[in-house]
Amino acid sequence: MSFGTQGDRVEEKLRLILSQISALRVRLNSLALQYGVFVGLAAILGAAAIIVASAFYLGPITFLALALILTTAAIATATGSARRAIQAWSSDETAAAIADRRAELKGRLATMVGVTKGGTRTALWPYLLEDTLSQRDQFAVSRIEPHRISKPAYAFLATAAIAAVVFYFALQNREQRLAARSASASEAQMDIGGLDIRPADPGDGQEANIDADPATLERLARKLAERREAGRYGPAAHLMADARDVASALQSRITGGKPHRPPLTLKLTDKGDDASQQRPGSSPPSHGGASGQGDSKSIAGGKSTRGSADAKAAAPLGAAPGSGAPDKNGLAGLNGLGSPTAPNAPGNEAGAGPNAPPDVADNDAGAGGGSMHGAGADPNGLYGEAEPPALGASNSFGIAIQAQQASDGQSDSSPAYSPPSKVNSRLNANQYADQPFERAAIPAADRVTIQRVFER
Amino acid sequence: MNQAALETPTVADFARTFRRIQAEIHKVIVGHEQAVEEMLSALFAGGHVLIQGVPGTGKTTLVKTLGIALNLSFNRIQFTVDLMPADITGTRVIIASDDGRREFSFQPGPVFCHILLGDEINRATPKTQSALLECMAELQVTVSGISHPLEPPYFVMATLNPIEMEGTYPLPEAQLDRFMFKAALEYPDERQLVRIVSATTGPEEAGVEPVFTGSEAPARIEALKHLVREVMVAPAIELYAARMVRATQPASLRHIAPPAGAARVDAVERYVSFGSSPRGAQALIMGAKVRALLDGRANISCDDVDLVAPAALQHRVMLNYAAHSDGIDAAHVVERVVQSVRAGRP
Repeated sequence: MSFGTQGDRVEEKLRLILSQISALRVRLNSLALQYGVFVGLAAILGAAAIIVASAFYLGPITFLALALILTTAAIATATGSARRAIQAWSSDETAAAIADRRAELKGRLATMVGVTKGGTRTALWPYLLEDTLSQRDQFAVSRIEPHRISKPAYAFLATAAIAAVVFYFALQNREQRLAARSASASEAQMDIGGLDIRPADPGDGQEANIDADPATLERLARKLAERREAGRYGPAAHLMADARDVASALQSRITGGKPHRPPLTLKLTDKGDDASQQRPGSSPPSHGGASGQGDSKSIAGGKSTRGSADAKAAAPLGAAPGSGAPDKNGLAGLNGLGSPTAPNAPGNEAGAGPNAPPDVADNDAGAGGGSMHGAGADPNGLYGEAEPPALGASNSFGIAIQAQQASDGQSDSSPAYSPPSKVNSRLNANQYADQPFERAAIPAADRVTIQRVFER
Repeated sequence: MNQAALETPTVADFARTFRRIQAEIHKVIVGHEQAVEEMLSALFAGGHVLIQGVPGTGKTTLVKTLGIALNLSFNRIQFTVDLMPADITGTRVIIASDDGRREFSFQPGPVFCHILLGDEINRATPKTQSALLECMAELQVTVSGISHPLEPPYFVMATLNPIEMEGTYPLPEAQLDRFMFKAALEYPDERQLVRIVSATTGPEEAGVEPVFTGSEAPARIEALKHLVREVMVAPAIELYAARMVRATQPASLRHIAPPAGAARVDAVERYVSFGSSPRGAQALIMGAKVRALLDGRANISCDDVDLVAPAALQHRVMLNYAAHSDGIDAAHVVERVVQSVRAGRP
């Protein structure tokens, strides 16, 4: 009986020690779990906050690169923290070894656990039990691992607070943008910032608001897209363009703004750049007469807010009535110049539209220069054969336009102004290139007199 | 002292007895504390010791003093080139009986004792050196097909002179592996030398008192040896010792399975041709058990294993030519092994 009582006492002591080790194991595992969860969440939350914030301030490519880097880093950190948590997961043996090391118990606990779980209890087992129990205070849970909350939890809280602030402001900003976007959804506007049409007077101002019907704008957008597609060279360029589109879509989804479109340069020209390419019977070499036919950049159907002051400058954009209709390349007309539906447009005032009297158109065509603006481009519907271009006269011109679809007036950043390429306007019919004067012939009657003078 | 006390010594008894033997030895032996501790550890762990030291460092004196302190029978063999195995183990001789008949009778050799000193063991031929193998490993001597058991405790101490290499025969690996520890006796420092001179040149030599009485000495020592085996070892510590032994083996050995997850030591890969045998792991654990008892514990720790590793593994590591050319010794390699394995502790 006494043996049984003593054995029970030994087992009771063993239970005390093992329960203390189990409590330590629970705390260690709790800390490991907290570490894995909080480090992973902090990394993901921090990365998300930075990505959202950067969507408002960075360009598409930079934003995409940063988002990829941060996402990769967050995933790697989360994976690493999970792996580390798994590695730090403790068994009773591990917890005992940790307690041995931290309390300098020289392997007493590890031996106790190891022997309990399958080892051989020798004659020294009671001695080991008593020896270990006498040092019970040294391996108390609060002494071995005093922390209940893992340190990454505080980092997570800080990250969560910062992320909440970022998300709050981002949400507000997004709602504002969405509201502005929905308000302007019915009105299609085209902001051609930096439009520069030579040879207009630069003093006329560089900001010209171009309004047009949605169909025209759609055609313009399609044309711009075609032009953009045509500007992609090679798989790398395609990849970059696709990446930019993806990033732009993502940014717009986050910020609520319209997708960012890069500035495009349009070059509006007459059909023929060179006089030698002019077909007989085509439009006269006047500024306003030739555009529209086959010129993919000519735009029709709009109106200019510049008024008549811009008429001369805008005249090259205007299409003749015959050619001002939507051309085969899609775009037709801009600023209402030469539009058949806008006879009072400035361009029509300067030039001769289809409603203009024949004599006016004829005179204008014959007069050349500024009077020829808007003279029309359909020689077949006018008055006979078009006048062949005079030698040295200019029959075409080039116009560079930097156009961009406006984003409801809330564009994040105006497209960078790039000066248009230099356009060499050809001479008109009344202009001659500089050339030396030819020596005048000496009259035969005066020839003897002049010879005498020089012989003296 | 009653019989029960003899059979079941306590941890405190062990430490007290050990320290007392140490004190008696140090009455004669000045310095060499570590060598003495290793020698006694090997004794209580049931192993044997190889003592290496230059002449005059007290190798023979140490062994003789130990024999006196333990009050055990002691024999000394001076190994020479012409020493034969029968000179050690004993042989059968013709003896005339009282009735005039002559018959073969086994005449025990000097190995039949409790403590055997093999002085300058490397001067004997390998054949003679190998005569000790059976004694050390199996505590018996077989002559003419008849095995003669040795009386426990049986403790062999052999000395090596590292300087006079001419006319010597290096111990074969199998012989070296039989020694649990290899202790090194270094030259004493100045203060120790003064103490040696004053203790040995006076009219009276220091007297060593036996710790045990003559009759109970073998039983007491056997009981203490049994207590050492009672010390418990956690599986993690056994794994630690096994990992340390594996770390002494270069991965290039064909007959050794590639170590999976074992510590790789550059010094081992470069300088070791053969690592420790499993006897090395046994020596680590048994030596650690003695150290645990001396510390008042009934369990061993990784630190105990680390402490006995140099003595247990140095002579079991066979260095290659690169090590000799680079001036690398076994102690350096074992130190690197211990550092490497210690870094992988749980």
